[in-house]
Amino acid sequence: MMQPDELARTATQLGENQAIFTWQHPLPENAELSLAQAQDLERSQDRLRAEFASDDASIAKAFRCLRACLAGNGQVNFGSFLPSIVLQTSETVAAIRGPVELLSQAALLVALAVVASAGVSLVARRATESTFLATHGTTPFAFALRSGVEAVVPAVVGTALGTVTALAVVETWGPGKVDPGARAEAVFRGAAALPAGLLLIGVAAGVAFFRRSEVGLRRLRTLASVPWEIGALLAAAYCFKRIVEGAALVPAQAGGVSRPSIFLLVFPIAAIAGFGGAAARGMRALMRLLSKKADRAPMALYLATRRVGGARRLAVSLVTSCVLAFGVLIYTQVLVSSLSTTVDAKSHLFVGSDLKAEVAEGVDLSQDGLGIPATRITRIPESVQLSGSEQDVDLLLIDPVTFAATAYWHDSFAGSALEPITAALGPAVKGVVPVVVVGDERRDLTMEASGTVVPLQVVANAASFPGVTESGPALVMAREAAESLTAANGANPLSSFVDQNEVWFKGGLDDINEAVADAGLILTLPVTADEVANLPSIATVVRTFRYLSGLGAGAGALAIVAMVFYLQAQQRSRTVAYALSRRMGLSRLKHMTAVIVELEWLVLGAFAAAALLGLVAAWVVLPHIEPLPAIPPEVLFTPPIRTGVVLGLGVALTGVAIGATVSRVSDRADFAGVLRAGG
Amino acid sequence: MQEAEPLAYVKDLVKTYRTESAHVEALRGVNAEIAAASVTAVIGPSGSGKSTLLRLLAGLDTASTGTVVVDGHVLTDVAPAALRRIRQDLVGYVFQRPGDNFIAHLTVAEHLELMAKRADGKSRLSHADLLQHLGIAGRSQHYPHQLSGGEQQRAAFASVLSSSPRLVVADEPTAELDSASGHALLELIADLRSLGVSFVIATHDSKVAEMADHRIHIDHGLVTDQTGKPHASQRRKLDVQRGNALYQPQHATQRATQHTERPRRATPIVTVDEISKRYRRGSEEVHALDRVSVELQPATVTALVGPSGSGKTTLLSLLAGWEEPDAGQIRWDRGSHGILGWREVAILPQKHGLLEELTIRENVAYPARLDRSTANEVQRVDDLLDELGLTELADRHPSQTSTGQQQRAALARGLLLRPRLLLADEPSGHQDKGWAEGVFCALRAAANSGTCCLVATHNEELAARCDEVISMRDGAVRSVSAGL
Repeated sequence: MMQPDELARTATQLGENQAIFTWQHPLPENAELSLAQAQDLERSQDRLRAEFASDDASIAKAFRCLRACLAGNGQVNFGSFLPSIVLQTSETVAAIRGPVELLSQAALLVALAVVASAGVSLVARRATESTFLATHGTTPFAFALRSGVEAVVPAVVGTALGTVTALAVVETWGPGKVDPGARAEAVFRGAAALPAGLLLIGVAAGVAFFRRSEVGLRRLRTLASVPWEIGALLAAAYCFKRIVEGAALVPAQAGGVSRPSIFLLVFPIAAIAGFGGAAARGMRALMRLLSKKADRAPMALYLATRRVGGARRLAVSLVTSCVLAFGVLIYTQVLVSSLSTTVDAKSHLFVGSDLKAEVAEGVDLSQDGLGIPATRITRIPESVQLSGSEQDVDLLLIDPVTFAATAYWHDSFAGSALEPITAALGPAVKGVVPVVVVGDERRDLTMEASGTVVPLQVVANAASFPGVTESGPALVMAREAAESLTAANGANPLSSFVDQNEVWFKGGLDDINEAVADAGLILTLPVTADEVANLPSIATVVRTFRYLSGLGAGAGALAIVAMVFYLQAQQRSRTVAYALSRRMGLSRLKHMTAVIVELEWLVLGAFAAAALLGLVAAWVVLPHIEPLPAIPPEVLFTPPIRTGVVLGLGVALTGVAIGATVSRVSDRADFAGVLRAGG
Repeated sequence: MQEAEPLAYVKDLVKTYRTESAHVEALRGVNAEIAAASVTAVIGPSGSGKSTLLRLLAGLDTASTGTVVVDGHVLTDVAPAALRRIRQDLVGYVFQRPGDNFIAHLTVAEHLELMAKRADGKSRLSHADLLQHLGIAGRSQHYPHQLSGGEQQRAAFASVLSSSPRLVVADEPTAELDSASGHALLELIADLRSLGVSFVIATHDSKVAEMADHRIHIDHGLVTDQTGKPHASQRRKLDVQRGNALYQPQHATQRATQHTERPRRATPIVTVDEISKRYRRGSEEVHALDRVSVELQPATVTALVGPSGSGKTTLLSLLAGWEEPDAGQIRWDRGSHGILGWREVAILPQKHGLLEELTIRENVAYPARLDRSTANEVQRVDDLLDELGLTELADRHPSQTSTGQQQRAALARGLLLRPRLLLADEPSGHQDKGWAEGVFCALRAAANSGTCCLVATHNEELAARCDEVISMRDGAVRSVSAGL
C-alpha cells in the first residue's frame, strides 16, 4: 500500500504502462446488509462515480495525473453488482410490502370491529347495570367514559402482548430478522393505537347505551327500522364499481409492482356482511317456519329449532359475524386457488411445460433416452394466413408422439384431454392437413403460406394451447405434415420463414438438470415456468390473498369464540328452566344434543351462507384482477373444494365439541344457589 | 277530584308494542292525575297496563301518543339532557324484579352513596335511618347477590329514596316481602309522604291500596275508576278477547272451593325429620334450617309462612332434591331415592323458569311432551289454560306476557301431570286479588284430586285458607296450625 504518486513513480520505473487501481468501500462490521444500508452504499458509489466524471473533484484530478503519467492511456472503469442487487431486493420488498400493507389495513379493520364489539357487548352483558344507570339519569357520554376507563388495563395488557407476540413471530418464522427501526415503529404504533382503541370502545359502548334509552328508542326508531344491510350493500356496490373501472390493482411506489387495492378488501366484506345479515334473518324466519312443523320432532330437534327460530338480535348479529368471517376466508381461499391455478396455467402455457430451452438438433428426446418427458417444438411466427382473414398467424409444429406427455394442459383449453387431440394430428391426407386451431372457433378453414393455399382438417378448436402466447389465432400441426407441404414450384411454402426451435422438458428442476447432464445436453436460454410465476407483479397479488385468508381464519376463530360466549350466556339465563326441565324428564344427552343442534344450525348455516357468498364474490372479482392478461388463458375459477370440505367438517366438529362443553357446564350449575338468590 | 295542582298527570296516553308475533295495545288513552305529597295506587289485573303506565311516568319509555307531565315538565317533549336530569333529581324508579335495581359489584351502602351523590348530597333521611327503617341496617356492606329477594326489594327502595326524589314510581314493591317487611316499607312510605314525597305504586297488595290516598283502577289499557275514597275492588265481566281475562269465579270448578273428605291420619307422602342446612353467602355462613321437622299429607294445601330469610325457599329446595341436608332425613312414603320426576314432585319456583323459546301453551304442555304423554294431556292443557285465564295468551311467548301471567303459566305447567307433591314458592306474589283467588282455587282443585300442595307465601289471606299453616322463623318451625 502506498501513496498514488509514489505508485506512479514506481510503476514508471518498472516500465509498467498500465495499472489497475481498485477501491473497496469499507463494509459494515456485521456481515449482513439491510436494504437501507445497501441503498446508502449505492448512493456512496454514485457519488464516487460522479466524482470520477467531474473536472474538479480531487480524485478525478489524481486520475488525470495518473493517465498523464501513464502515457495518457488510462481508463477508469467503475463496476458494481450492487445496483442490480438493490433493484432486485427493492422489487422483492415491494412485492411483500404491498400485501403486508393491505393486510395491515385489513387487520386494522378487524381490530376495530373486535374493539367496537367489545364495547357493544359490554352493554349487552351488563344489561341490568346499563338499564339501572340509564334509569337514574346517566348520560351516554358518562357511560362511554366509564367504559373507556374500565378498558384501560386490559387494553394495555392486550396491546403489549400483541406487540410482543407479533415481534416474536416475525423473529421466529421470518421472513427475516426484525429491523431495529421496525421494532421501534411497532412499539410506537401499538402505543398510538391504544388511545384510539379505548376511544372506540367508549364510543361503541356509549352508542349501545344510548340505543337502550328511551330517547334512543324515540330518535333512532326510524333509523333503526332501516336494515343496516342496505348500507353495507351500497358500499359493496360502490367498491365493485371502482373495481370494474380498473381500480382493482394499483401500482406500488417502488419497483413498479402492483398490488391489490383496498376496494378488493372492502368489497367482499361489505357484500358478504350485507347479504350475510339478510341470510341470518332469513335463517331465523326459516327456523320459525320449521319449528311450527317440528311438533312431532324428537325433543332435541324440537327445542333447537325453537331456540334458533326465537333467536334475538344478538344471535342474529353473531351469525352475521360468522358469515362475514367465514365468507372472507372462503373468498380469499378461492382467489388464492384460482389465481395460483391461473398463474400456473399461464406460466406453463408461456413456457409450454416446466422448462424450455434451445437444444442442438439430433438429440434423442424420447423418454427412454432421456429419462424424462421432452418434446421438440418449432415455432414459425406470423407465417400463414387463415381463410377469411388477412392477419398473419403463428404456426406451431409439434411431434405428436412426445407432445402430449410433455406439454402442460388443462381440459378447459379445448374441452377435452390433450392426448386424443394430438393423436389426430399427423401427416396430410390427400393434401388435407389436420390442425388444431387456437383462438378461432371456425371448423371450415384453409391456410395460405407464401401464396400456397392448403386445405385444413380442424381436429380441435382450442381457446389456449401450450406455447401459443399471443392472443390472436394460431395453428398447430404435426411437424411431419408441415415438412411435406409442397408449393406449385415444388418448394416447401414454409421454407422462407424464420423458425424458432426449442425443446420442452417436464419435471422438477433437479430431475431435468440431472437428465440433461446425464445425456450430455447443453441447454441454451433456459426458461422455467416457476420463473414466470414468481415475477413480483404476480406473486404480490397471490401473496396478498394468501395472507388475507390467514386473517379470515383468525376472524372465523374469533367469531366462534363469540358464539361460545353467547351460548354460555344463554345457558346461564336458562339455568332455572334447565333445572326444571331435568326434573320433567329431559335427559342430559337430549339437552346436550339440543345445544349442539342449536349451535350447529347457527354455525353450519353461517358457513353454508358464507361459502355461497364467498364463492360468488370471488367469481365476480376474479376477471378484474387477472395477472398477465396478455398471456392466455383467461382466469380459471378454481374453488378449493377439498379445503372447503375440510373447513366445513372442522366447523361442524368444533360445534359439537363446544356444544358438549357448554352443556356440561350447565350440569354443574348450582341450581339451589340460583333459586335461593331469587328469593 | 284534586283541589291542588297535581304533581304529575297523563293525558290521552296511548302505548302500543309491536313484536314479531303480536301487536299489543298496552294503554289505550289513559287520563290520570298524581297529587303531590300523596300515595297513588295503580291497581289492575295482570297485563292491564300498570307497568307500562309507570314506565311512562318515570320517563323510561316513549308514548305512542299522548302527554306525560311531571312537575311541569312535559316528558314527551323534553330534550334528552333535561329528561336525564329529571330522572336523576325528580323521579325515582323501583323495578319489579328486585335484581334489576342494582349494580352487581356495589354494596348496598355504595348504592346509597351513588344515588345521593347524583342528588348533590341532599337527602331527606340519613342512610343509616333509611336502612334502619327498612330493617336492613346490618346488610349495608353486602352485595346484592348476598341478599334475599325481600332484602333486595327493601335495599332497592333505600337506594332510590337516598336521592330524595319528589316522585317515586314503584312496580309491585311488596310482591316479594313478608307482611312484617311490607308493613315496615309502608310505614316508611307514609313518613316520606308527610315530608312531601309522592309515590305511585303498581300493586296487587290490598294493604297498599288501603293506605293509598288515591287509587287508579286500570284494565285493558284504560282507567276504569279513579277515586280518592277507599272502596272494594270491583269485578266485572269484560271482553276477554284481548287476552287479559279478569278472574271470574265460574272459571274454577265447583269442587275446587270445597274440601274433600280425607282421612285425618293419612300416611304422609313425605316426612322431614330434623333437617338442618347451612350454606355460605359470600364470607358469611347462613344457618338456613335448624332441625326442621314437618309432615306433608296427600290431598292438602299447606302454607309455609315466615319472614324473608326464614328458610322457606331452602326447605322447598331440599324437598325438591336440589340439595342435601347437612343433618336429618327426608323420607318419602314410597321409599323413593334420588331425584323424583315431575309426576312425583312438581315445582313452581319464584323464578318461573319458563322456556322463552316456547309459547305459553307449549310451556304448559312441556312436561307431558317430556313424559311422552302429550296425546293424553291435550285436553288437560286446554283446561288449565282456561282455568288460569291464559287461553288468549296461549300463542304468545313468555316475554310478551306480564309477570303475573307467566306465574300462572308456570303453575299450570306444575299441575299438568297431577303430581303427588307440588312445591310452589310465592305462587300468588304477582297476582291481583282476583287472580290470587284463582290461583288458590287451582291449588285447591289439585289438592282435591290428590296432590299435596306446599305453598310458601306471604299472602296471609291465602295462608289462612289452607289446610295447614307451617310458620317458620330463623330457620326453625315455630308452629304448625290448621287453617280455616
